[in-house]
Amino acid sequence: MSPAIALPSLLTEGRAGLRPWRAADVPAIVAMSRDPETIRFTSVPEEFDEDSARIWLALQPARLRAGDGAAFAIVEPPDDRPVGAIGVRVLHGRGSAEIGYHMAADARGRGLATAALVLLSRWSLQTLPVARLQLTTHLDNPASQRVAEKAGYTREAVLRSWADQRGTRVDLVMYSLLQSDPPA
Amino acid sequence: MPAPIPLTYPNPRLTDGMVVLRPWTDADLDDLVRMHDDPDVARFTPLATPYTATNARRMLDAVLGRLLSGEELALAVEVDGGGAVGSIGVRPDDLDREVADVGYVVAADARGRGIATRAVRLVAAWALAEWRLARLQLTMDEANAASARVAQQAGFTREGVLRSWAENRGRRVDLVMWSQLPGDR
Repeated sequence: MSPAIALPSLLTEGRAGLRPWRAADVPAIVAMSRDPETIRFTSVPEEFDEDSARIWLALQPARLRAGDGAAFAIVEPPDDRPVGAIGVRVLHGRGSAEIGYHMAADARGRGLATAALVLLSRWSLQTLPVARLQLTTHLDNPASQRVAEKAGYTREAVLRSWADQRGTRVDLVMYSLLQSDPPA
Repeated sequence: MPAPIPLTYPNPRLTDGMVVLRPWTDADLDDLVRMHDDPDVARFTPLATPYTATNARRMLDAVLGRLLSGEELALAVEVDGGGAVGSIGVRPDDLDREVADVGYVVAADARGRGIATRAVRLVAAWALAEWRLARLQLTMDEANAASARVAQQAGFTREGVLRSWAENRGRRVDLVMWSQLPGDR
């Protein structure tokens, strides 16, 4: 258990904003998680439907209370329609946390993921009891690797058979950002 | 089927004819202190320093509980029927039961004879098969050249340095990550 996490109402950087998820976001959450690139490169469950999204949303307050992690919608203020998703999960007992993100297809290539990652990384290092932030990408996902590197993350290793993705073990590239790293 | 809870001891005992891996007993207390109260152990592991009979007593008292709770399979390393000259443990990952971590220590006066390599080979082959692991990993300090040789000779692949990966006596430490997969050897 970690201290409870208090969610900010809006964080902004450049054109990107992060805000808490709302019930009205369910269709957007489902649409993003059914994107072929998102399925290919993340561990989103198969058949993730509106009920799954509602259950996922309903679990978020308990995750915050337990200090387990926080999830945000990526928006382009003043528009508050979600164009991406980003979240952080505290790895209890390890002094670290892991970030994951994905963008809607029509929101890619405009630097929004990078800005969102910078925002969440800064907030996480200020707020969470962690010395290290990490994220993993597929070897053949250069777009995500560029996002990590532009946000100041360091590529550390290819970790073989590192995670389970819908029943298949995958090799992943590990990136990290430390408290002591220079700001992006 | 990933690593079960509770874990169980390998049966029959793991041996390659020279090295035998067996459960710890109360009679190992002095040998535990001897192998763990050591400058290299102090430098490269999070074990207590100085390492006293009280620390050894606590470890021996905790071994069975850690086995039953699925935290760790800890074994004494014995050679030629003598006392324990080493310690080896395998810990299933708390977030991913298809992954486990290996750790080992060999007493100073037993080093350089390939004992750690033999112990790691035995445990790695057993855990990968018995727990159907997708990945067995080990981490070590970058400066620990002896341990790197053991990992390589026991069939592990060096993957990279993970920064601020763990905490050792209140200090964040960078560690080298190594892995062995089921098909590797």
